[in-house]
Amino acid sequence: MNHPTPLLALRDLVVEFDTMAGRVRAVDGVSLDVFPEESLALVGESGCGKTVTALSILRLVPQPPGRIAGGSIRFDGRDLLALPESGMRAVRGRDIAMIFQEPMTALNPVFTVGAQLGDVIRRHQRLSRREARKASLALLEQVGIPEPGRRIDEYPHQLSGGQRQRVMIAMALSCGPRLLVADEPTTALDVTTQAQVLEEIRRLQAEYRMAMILVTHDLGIVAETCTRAVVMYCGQVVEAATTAALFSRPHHPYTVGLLDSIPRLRETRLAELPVIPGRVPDPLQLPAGCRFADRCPRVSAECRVVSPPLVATADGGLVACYHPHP
Amino acid sequence: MNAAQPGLPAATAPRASLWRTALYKLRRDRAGLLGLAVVVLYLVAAVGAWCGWWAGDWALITGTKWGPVSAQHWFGTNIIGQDIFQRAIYSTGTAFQVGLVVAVLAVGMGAVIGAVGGFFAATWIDEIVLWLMGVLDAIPFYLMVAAIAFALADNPYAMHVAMVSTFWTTTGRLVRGEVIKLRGLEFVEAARAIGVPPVAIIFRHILPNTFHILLVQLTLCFVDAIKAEVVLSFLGLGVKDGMSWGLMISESTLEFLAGHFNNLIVASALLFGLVFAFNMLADALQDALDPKQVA
Amino acid sequence: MNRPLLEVRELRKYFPIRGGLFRRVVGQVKAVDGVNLQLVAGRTLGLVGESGCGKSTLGRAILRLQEPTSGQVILSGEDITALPRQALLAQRRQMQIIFQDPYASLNPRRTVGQAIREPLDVHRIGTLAERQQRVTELLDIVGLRDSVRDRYPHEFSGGQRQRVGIARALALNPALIVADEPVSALDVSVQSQVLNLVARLQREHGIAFLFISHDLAVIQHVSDEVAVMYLGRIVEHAPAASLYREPQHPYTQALLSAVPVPDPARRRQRIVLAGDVPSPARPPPGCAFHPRCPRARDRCRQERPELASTAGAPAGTRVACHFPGTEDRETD
Repeated sequence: MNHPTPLLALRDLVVEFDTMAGRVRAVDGVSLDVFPEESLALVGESGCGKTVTALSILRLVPQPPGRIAGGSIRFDGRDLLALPESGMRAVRGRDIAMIFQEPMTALNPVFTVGAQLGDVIRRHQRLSRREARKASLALLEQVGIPEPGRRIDEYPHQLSGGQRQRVMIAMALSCGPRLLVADEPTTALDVTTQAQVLEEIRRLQAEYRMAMILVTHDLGIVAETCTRAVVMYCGQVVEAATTAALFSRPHHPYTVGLLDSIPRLRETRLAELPVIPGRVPDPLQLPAGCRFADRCPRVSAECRVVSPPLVATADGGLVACYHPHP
Repeated sequence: MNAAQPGLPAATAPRASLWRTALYKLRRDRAGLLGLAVVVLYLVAAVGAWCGWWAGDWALITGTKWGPVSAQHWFGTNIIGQDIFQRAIYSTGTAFQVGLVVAVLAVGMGAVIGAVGGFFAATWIDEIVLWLMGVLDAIPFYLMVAAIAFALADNPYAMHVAMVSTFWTTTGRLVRGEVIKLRGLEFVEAARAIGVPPVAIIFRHILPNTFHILLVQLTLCFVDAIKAEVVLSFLGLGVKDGMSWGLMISESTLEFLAGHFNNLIVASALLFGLVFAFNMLADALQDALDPKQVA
Repeated sequence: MNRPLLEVRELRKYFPIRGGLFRRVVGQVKAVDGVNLQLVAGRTLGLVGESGCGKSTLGRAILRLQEPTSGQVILSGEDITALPRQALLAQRRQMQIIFQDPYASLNPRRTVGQAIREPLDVHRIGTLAERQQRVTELLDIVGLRDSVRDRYPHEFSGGQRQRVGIARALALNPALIVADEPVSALDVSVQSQVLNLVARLQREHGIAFLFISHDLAVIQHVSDEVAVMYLGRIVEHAPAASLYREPQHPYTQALLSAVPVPDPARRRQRIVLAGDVPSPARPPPGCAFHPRCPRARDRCRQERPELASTAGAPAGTRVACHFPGTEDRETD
């Protein structure tokens, strides 16, 4: 591909969790690249490993029960997995920032917005309290919070869900990160608020010239926000492509099924929505071979023997399937 | 239906019930298991004492005054020559009897009253429950016991009544809080939606979901009751015609000046061992049963 | 048009706000503020709105799971709101609810079989053997195997639990089911399975559904008619086809345009509403939508528009707006 060197490169990442019933591989050999200033979507259903992948980039996987069992994560040439914890703390916030699904639980309820924001700013930059407050005000204004002068002294519970998420975004942006990891940032919000927040994220991403990984289950958001998308299923990447290619010509049967089955606004009401039959396999009893085989309409004998590798497609994407759609 | 075969929770998937999960966690808790083992040992001693398998001669004078530790009298004898070991074991039976009766009644009472208060929170029923708990908690415990013991004259169960009537409030408050949380959950609303009457909702749907609290409360209440029994017996408000660690300690006050500490040491050590073991068990249970941690 | 199965007249549900030392009532949250609805047997009315608009409260007030403050709910000719408690328990056979969270709506300590049988037990229907037989039947209807009846809810996936919830709601052969966001807690690929099931039940069993959701795409698939709610009131009520094709209320239009469309080639003009939904404790005067409305004029700030049919709109459409119409959407 004609891209420059990637900003972030995951190679064969494996993340395991110890559960009562045994060891679960939540992420099983994920490789992906994020290039400067691009927005990459990480799509999949709950339990597919997309959030764990995102968390491991910042080494935030809870340990125990989880652990990063293999692979490498290179950010700007540095191997993040080899850094000591203190070095990692410097990376978090300054180079890579993260926003979470539920802004209420990510904010401390007993401190004002300004105090928390100022705290984050002062952790990475040498500023006086007054300077930090000024910077906080500017940030709040930048993320589109109305009346920032008043809001800065309010507590998280006094803000609406959309405003809280904006505060989280302000915190994430405070040190000008080069990569923003957004884990389902709008799932807890209403559609009209979601539209506002996504609009804001898009604008800020361009303004700050950041790369972004957007973790989501909503293909509509992917289509409207991201330039490239990686589809995950059962801890593995099954397809990667530019958004335009993924939606116009999906190759993997799972992607095809997902695109067909999501309830979406249609011209006319269908008698029956297409569905993907069955359900995601138990992570403790993954089938040999392709993990989608049991639900796949194109399955053949070889699919059940060896897991298909990711191979390049004609239109520049990647797909892990023996019988991809053309 | 379009082919979807959803009727099959993967047939071989491990069936981890809530209890099984708790058991699994308990089994990994060394301190908890040790506590459990010690408690079982005490229980065996207590059951034996109830059934008269041993310690039947606790009241007989079998030796000389203040006899030393010997093969016949493992912990020596007391001021009138009774065997301290037998008396200590018999007291274990007393302790368990008081602990069990008080714990079961107090926790049961707390569960029911707390659940009713919680289910009808913000109505007059709950006001009464809260008022009752507030009043009972406001009376100093030993004053209350003294009053009840006095009122019930020589009734050997005065101590039990006093303890139950004050101990239930802790469980009551905890259960009330939990029930207020539970009654907002959809499965309770679902029960109302199909027309299940309130009493059935409380007993069939809500209380079973507070078992984790009740079990932990049972162990804590048991320990509290035993400790209180010892103190009350020491003060002369507790066990009247029987034997108890409290009475042994009380007896030992006569022996200090003569330099004999056997009664005191044995009773205190046994009490300490039981309380300690039970607290370890209670901690382990709490960790194992906490639904917030079962994930 | 047949006589409606369900008729809701001027239904209100206010929650008191208490404050001060003696917890006096200092205000009211008007969660549902004068709603009128009609639902014909065997049809589905989609109720759509954002969180806090009162749609769930409306559903629960109709079933009297929350006592309405005022107004009437008439089911099969009988005024539910006037029934004494005992008679209400009997009426519950006719109306059921499916909940949003399949994890919270099943008692974790009771098996799936017990959960589905409970309505039959409560209403003393048939012998024990007949009830067990009915459970088998119900499991089959929702696409679950009979062998799952002795299992506990936590052994099931979200979609399967939702099927159990549906089986339980069906047990008493209700005429009306209120479905409160039944698929929003489910994974995307499972949502369609459950939606198909709901559509099939409606077809085959002639059950009327009040289908509550925040998701316009979901509502579209199941509904014959759609009502849009904003701050406790219905702002637009129309046959599904015309609502999606020619929305009249500016709020409906904004809602429709905010739905992310999984098609990168079709970037639409999006109406991004300013601000947040106001607190229902202090709704704005006049039209509650005016602070966010691109069409708001002086009249909107003073006078509250009533739900009424309007010239130029498709038949059956009623809208609560002083300046309804589709024109803004096209010129925007």
